Amino acid sequence: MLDWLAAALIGSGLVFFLAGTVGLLRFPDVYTRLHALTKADNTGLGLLAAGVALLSGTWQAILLIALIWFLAVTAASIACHLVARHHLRDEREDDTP
Amino acid sequence: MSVFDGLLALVVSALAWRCVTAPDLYRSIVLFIVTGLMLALAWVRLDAPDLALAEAGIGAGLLGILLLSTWRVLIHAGPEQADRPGASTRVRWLAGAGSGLLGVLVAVALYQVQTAIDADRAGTLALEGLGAAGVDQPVTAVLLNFRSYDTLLEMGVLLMALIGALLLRSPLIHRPGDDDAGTDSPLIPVLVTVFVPLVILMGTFLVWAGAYMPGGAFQGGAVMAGAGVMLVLGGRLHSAAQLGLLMRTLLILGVTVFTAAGLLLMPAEGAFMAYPQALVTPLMVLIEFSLAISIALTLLLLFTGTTGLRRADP
Repeated sequence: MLDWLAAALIGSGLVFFLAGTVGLLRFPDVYTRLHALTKADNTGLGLLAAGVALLSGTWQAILLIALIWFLAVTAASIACHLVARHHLRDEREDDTP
Repeated sequence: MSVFDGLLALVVSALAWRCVTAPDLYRSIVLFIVTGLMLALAWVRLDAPDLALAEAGIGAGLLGILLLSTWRVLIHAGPEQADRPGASTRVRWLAGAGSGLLGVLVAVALYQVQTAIDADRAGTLALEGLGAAGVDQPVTAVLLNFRSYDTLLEMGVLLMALIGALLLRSPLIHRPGDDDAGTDSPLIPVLVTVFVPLVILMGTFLVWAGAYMPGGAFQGGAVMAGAGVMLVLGGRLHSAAQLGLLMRTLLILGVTVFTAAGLLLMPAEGAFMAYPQALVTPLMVLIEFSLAISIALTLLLLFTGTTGLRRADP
């Protein structure tokens, strides 16, 4: 039962990763690409981490996975913010020479 | 060999090929970093977590940062500096042959590791002598004890590389602050205050863990240097023209402690770098930490390209 639940979580996480990657490749500009990438991948990572945590069995491993998930999500969000900010600044500089 | 290993070998060779033939420099650098991460994955599959950590931390992480900051300097010198002509047909064929060979090698290695490992090798000797090494992790025992001469000379090479880089640095100085997006972003202090202590903790743990599980001075030092890079990019550490006494001391700490431990015990033990059994474990830990500190600072100074660092004014 637990195995099936974990498999379902990991499987749906992978679907989110796939969607995020397709968005990254297909969307027209930096902002929409960032949107697709961070939203879908963060959800995907959460589902994946939940699935793996179910399979791991020990609470130490679950805590470690939760910590890794938190760090990855924080780092990804800040990186996304910085990329968007940099791009916005470039655009403004192009408008006002 | 599983389907995953086959895919991994394919991906590594495809990435290596693209890395050489990509139309612009920036793309090549990003592909190089991704290739490094995939190679780290291959090392994990080969049951070599030490190498995987080193490849991910130094090969993909710090080398990637060095390449990216060099690229930035080129862009600032004039965008045409970062241009390069597309790879010629001959280069494409050569790169194809090279990366194809790499893929085959990775596949063969991944296939081989599933079969029995030959018993009659140097590795067996190292495992048999592990009791005298002072550490439980075979890789660390080999690096710091069985072949300590090599590791000591490697530290010397690293120091020489830094001195050479600093002599040549003038065209490559990266000046943070003048156009860095983000140092004024409200999220940067969060990133620095949350991540830097955790990264330093992780680096220290990796050095400590080297005594009994995969980890060690090089991997831990690279992670600590990553924390330093974050501090520089986040505007907390600035470049300084002068190399202070403290920095000089820390830079040569590894070589000094390593050599001193070998020399001072010579009268008692009769040979260079022979350690008494009672002291060997604390000595290993001491040497490992001093190496890690020197490695971290050397890698960080290679990144900033300056002779010194100072704290930012509050």
